[in-house]
Amino acid sequence: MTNEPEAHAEAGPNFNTYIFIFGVLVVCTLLSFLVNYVLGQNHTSATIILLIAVIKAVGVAMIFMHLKFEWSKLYFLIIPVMILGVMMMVVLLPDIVLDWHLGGE
Amino acid sequence: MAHAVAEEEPQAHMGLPLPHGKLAMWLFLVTEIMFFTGMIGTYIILRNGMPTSNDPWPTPHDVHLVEFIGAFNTFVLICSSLTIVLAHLALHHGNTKRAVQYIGVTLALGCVFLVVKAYEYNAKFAHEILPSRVFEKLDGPFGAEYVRHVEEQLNHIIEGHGHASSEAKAACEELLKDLPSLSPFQVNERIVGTKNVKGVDRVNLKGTDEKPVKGILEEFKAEDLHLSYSIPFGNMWASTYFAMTGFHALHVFGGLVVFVIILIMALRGRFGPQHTHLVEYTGLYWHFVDIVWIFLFPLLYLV
Repeated sequence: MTNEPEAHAEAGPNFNTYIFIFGVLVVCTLLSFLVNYVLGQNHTSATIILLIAVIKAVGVAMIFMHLKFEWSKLYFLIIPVMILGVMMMVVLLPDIVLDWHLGGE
Repeated sequence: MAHAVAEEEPQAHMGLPLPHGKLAMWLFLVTEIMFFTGMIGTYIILRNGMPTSNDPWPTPHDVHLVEFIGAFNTFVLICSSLTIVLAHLALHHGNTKRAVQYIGVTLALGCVFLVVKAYEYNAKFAHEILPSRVFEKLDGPFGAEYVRHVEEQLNHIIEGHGHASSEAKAACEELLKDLPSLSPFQVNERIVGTKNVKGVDRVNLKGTDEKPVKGILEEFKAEDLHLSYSIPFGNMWASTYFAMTGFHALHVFGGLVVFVIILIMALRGRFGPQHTHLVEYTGLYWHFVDIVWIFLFPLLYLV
């Protein structure tokens, strides 16, 4: 590891980039609200709305959290935790859902 | 000789080109990702795995959630993410005064988020949408308990505690009079109306001359009467809702405490460009809190 800050003089985003991402986030929020309003609650709207949420999260992480510029230094933390997160849900699936359905028969 | 060889070997050192503070914050955030993934993952599995069309998961309307309020809070957190990142940028360029202003705005926005959340929680408490307090499965022992509870609520409204209109009070009196002859399912139907009864709680009208009824809550919608009704999976919903939003709100509060500390430092004249990294790491945490809400909003309010 480097000693604190200087080796890390950032080449990060500027004011305009932040404002642009903010605009994208606001538009995406409105869009997900509208999709729910127009399509109602069904699988199609759920898929679209969750995809919009993923886009928003990626925008915040990549630009606001500077992951776009520091990915090479942090990927070894981010990728494993994403895999473990999905694995945890897969592990919970039989315990909760399958047990419920089998017990209900 | 062996000693000489050991000295020639390259020295082991940790090679991450990151400041200690940033690495520590990211390690903390990684544990936080697992924490929230556990809760959100459990919610998704419960939400999609257990309910059926006859025994459905509660809709936002069933549990007094207003989509617009959730969207507003999302907007508030997005704004706060922008202001904290601009505070970091300002401090990076040596503009301490502007950075302090942005942090003050971020603090205010975080407070707005918590006030809105408190307003929302208040509605849950008022309507008793709380873990283990929601009535469901009316065919079991909870059915009799449900009828007793409704009797108390009706008396409460009739006595004038709920600011109900005279028409609403008359309808409540009528239901109270009929209560001894009604089953828990029929009481639920008289409160929410036949068309709003979930499949699992439906009163079988086939082969009878009974007609669909209009519920008291349906008829006096604007009065916000506090009458309990059956919400299948309501207790499960309340548990997951309060766990996820409660822990998220605690994280928001934690961020606000740091912003207050920074503002106190600024008031004492002890805050400046040397604290750029403090603002950056606090910002990382704050953005993470924003990302968690970005997923909670659609999962709870829209999907």
